[in-house]
Amino acid sequence: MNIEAIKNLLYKMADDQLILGHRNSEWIGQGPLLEEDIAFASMAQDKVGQSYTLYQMLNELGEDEPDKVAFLRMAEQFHNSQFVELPIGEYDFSLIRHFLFDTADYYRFDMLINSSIEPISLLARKLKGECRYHSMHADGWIKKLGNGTDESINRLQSALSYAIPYALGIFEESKMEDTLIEENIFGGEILLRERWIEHIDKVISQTQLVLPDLALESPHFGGRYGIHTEHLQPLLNEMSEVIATDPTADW
Amino acid sequence: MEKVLDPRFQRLDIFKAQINGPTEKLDQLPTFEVFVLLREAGIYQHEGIVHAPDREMAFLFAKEQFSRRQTCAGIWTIETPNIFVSPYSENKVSIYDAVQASAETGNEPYKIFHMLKRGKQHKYAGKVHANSPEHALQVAKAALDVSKPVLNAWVARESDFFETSEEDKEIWNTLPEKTFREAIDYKGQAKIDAFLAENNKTS
Repeated sequence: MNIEAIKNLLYKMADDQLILGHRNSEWIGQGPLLEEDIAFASMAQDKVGQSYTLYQMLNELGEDEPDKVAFLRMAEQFHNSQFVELPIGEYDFSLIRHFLFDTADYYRFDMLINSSIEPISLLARKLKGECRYHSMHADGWIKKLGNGTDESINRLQSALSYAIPYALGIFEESKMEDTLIEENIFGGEILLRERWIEHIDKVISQTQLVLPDLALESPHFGGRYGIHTEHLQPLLNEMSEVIATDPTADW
Repeated sequence: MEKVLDPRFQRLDIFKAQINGPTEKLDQLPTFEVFVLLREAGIYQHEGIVHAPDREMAFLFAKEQFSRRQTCAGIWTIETPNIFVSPYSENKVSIYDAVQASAETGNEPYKIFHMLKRGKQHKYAGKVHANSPEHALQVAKAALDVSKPVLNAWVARESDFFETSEEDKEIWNTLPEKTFREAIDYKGQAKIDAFLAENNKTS
């Protein structure tokens, strides 16, 4: 069992969840309608909860405790994709990111059900339902607004075109990729990407939107190796305000 | 026009509204009624209303609106105008007293919901096959349990509902463990009390 490879996998998943969970929580109280506000906020909370579970597993593998890992690292120590750290923008971008990220997330957990590492397999089995709802919710909006008015279609289309290179960055392979696949810990980013494309293509083809030609896109890589946009550090500073003021604070 | 002193009338600007004619239609999405099954062995009951563009989206909103905390095993959503509402009755008088029971069924499946107590939710009473909502009540009188006085009934075509599929039920798998969704999980008052006790000791 390759502990380093497992840690590498858990870190990128946990960091993606934590950062996107915090980003999406910025919409609380500002959603386009009350019902959506509640749903979107709940899903953001789910993501932070999922990251906590993954940090706990990392803790059992010898890493620092979850609060420290979440709030005391600098941007270059984070393994999240650049996609999740981007500002929330307008609701069109946040919805497109929700759709593109949560589809990948659903299939990642689906693949991890077959992981040779039992605790990971059990966790994936448990969280898959949660991710299924996130994905259903995203699909619902994309189909609705992707067939809505000129404005909703144009807005989603430009958000989609902007987001795609970043979304492809989710599937950046780590140094441990071969080990993960050989030891059946995780089926790998390439396979995940194939399943992701199949799903987003299926949803988008039911709308007036056009999926850009993915072969012509250059993905925004680097996030998995600690290279981030200018947007991550300010977010981390905000997230760690309490612990920075009083390291013994309890919440 | 006589001046009304009740502040509720003044806040509503009710006389101005009458002078200016009907008010503009609200810019809101339509409403959907939400029925929730709390546990597998239970029965569906009305929990409330959501605004949504369609019944599928209503289902997605209702999931977080009405099953954020308690357990849940299924949700039905239906657009409000698709529900036929029977007359209301009072005390021990059942609405079925005024309905002629019919043994003759129709082709369309209808769901029937009963309210047995004022202020309580409508609960699913059963399914009948009929030709109209009025006919469905006649069939229901003969086919369903109407031994207790029913104060109000809702009738709606089964095909107008959006229902949770069997495979989608896994979306509630982790719900019992999400104790962090309960405010009480943060033990806020206990922490405030401990903080105050600590401060009183030192001062």
